[in-house]
Amino acid sequence: METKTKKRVLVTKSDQDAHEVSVRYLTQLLRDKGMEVIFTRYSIIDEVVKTAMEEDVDVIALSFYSSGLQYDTARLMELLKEQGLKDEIKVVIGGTISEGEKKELIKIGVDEVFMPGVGTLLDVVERVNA
Amino acid sequence: MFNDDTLKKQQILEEQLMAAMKAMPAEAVPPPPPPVSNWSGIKLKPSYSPADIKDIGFQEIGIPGNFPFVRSNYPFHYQVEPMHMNQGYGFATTEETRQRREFLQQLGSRSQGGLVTAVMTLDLPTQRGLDPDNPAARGKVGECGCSFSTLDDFSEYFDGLDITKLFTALLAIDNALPINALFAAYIRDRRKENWADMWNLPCNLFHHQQFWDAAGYPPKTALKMSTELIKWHIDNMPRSCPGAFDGYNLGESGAPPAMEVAFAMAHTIAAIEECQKVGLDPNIVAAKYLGHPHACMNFFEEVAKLRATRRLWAKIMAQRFGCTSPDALRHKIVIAQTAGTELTAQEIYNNIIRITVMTMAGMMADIEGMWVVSYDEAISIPTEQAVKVCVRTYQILQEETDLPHVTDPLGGSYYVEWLTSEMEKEILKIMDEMDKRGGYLKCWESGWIRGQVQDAAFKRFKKLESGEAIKIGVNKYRIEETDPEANIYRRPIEVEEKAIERVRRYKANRNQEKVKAALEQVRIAAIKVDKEWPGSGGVLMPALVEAASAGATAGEMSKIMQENLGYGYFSG
Repeated sequence: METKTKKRVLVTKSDQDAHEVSVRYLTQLLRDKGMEVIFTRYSIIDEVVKTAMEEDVDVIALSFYSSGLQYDTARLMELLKEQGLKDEIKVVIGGTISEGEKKELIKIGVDEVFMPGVGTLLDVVERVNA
Repeated sequence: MFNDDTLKKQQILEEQLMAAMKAMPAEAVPPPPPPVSNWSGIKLKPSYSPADIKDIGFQEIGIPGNFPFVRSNYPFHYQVEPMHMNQGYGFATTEETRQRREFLQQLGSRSQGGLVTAVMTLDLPTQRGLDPDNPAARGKVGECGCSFSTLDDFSEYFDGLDITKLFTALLAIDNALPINALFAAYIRDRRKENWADMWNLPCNLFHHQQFWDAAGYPPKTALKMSTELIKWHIDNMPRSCPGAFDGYNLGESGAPPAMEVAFAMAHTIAAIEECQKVGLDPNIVAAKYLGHPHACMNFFEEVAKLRATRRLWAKIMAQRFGCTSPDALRHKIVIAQTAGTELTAQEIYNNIIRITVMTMAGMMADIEGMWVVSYDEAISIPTEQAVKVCVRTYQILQEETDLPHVTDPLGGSYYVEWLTSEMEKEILKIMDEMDKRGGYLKCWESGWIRGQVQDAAFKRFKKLESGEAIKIGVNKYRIEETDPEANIYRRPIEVEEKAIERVRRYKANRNQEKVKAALEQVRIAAIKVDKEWPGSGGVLMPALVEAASAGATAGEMSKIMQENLGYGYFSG
């Protein structure tokens, strides 16, 4: 059996949101750091958990520059819990998120939250890799 | 541009300067400045002189209001017609959006000839062709725009407004055809008015097509649909401008200014050629194209880009398409949008200064109108306070300064005229490269366009990381401070619940047989567009208008079109 050596990261974003430049750049930085990155666009958040399971990823990284943060993240955490994957997969969320929302996300089990103006994409890479 | 005598005199001055510098002790000679290139890659000199523009014929520059319109489309401009304030807005429900429009009017916001700006930002599900009750719309209804999917939504927002005094643009992207069909049906059936009286700028679906990895339709199909939208508006709403020369979204995605114009121009040429296939006259189509460029922080590069775009447009329309109508030869830059990518989440009030510089570039290039974005763009959709500053930006520049007193005040500047010509050459160079690669459509389908845009975006990120490109307060002079809590707008969940309830009720209370029959006609028309093009040109929009009239929702129309015309795909 093949042994998994590289960290596998699913980077994903709603297919309704065109703000994709940074998240695509992030995929490049993660690859440069030696991680295997699967980049997808989802129609419905439920697809993300399915992809994460099929691809056996260690990290799910989600980007929100427009809408859907509250519904999509809550649903994602609920589905991960249902599948017993909440402790297996690290969840990292970035985008236009307020301090108050960050607290809520941490409360429902999100591991890392990146808000506007706090840190750089390189910091995100470090946290994903940690 | 200059006679030999002038050029000779200039040469003498330069030689004298060089000789004087040589005579100075070595330590007194200032070090040469480091080489500088603009974002489009054009190398700049420390200063410019007549020698730099000696080869530009006077006819290339001319006078404002004359071909090739590099200086302005008009002999006099802001002196009599202030820059149009074409900023978009829209969030939550039609009610909140209506209140925002009233607030903007109260501040004195105005579009061309005093029309009321109704550039409506629609929410992501609407832009995608999804009704609020679609599972994929969950959590996104009414958040970053207003939700529109039925005739009732149009009634709620537009009832009581004089449609002849509105400058409307419904930012529907992939959903452009169904949304404009609903608008037309609303005007005809509910208002019993003549749609020919409207000034509509139906957002063309191309705004995201060329570079987005999740576009709604395949490239060839999207070109046909764009043609359908243009043809219907030319035939029915002659005041409308259904063509979008969109550089803004390319710029936001990373394209430097010259690349932005090259791709937008190549797209427009392909789109006009597609229109010719269905029998439309380029003289009319070209006149229906409005410019929506990006405006970044490189002030002179942007001024030169906008001037070069107008000149190139005039030449291409005259030489390639044989246009003769002045309206077709003038490229009207109606919505230049200040760059969101230049704005920062840190120290957000600095963005007001950035936005002012970008707005001034638009004014100095003598363009028709702008969408001045709000200083909080990096963190949220605009607050009331932030849009107030936007409106005040136009007003202060127009009414407190001397900027509007003289048309094209930079015209004749050695540097600006040189740079305008260099930008034009750079744009043409990229367009030639596309021709060598098999033409615009091939470059689009193969993903070459999006690859170029992405490479440029990544280069910019790397420069920001290394400090080669500077963002004050972010990668330079940064101080650690706690910014005030970002005021990020989230619409209350009830907005979504209400929208779902409304669309369900709408679907329940209509003549289902009539809707079914009308949607069948949409399906037949879509197949004809797919299989019998260009002979079938013009069949789709009328079928959509009738379906809207019968009670079909935008989502239902979009679904049938995608099922029969195909979905967009990722390439490159």
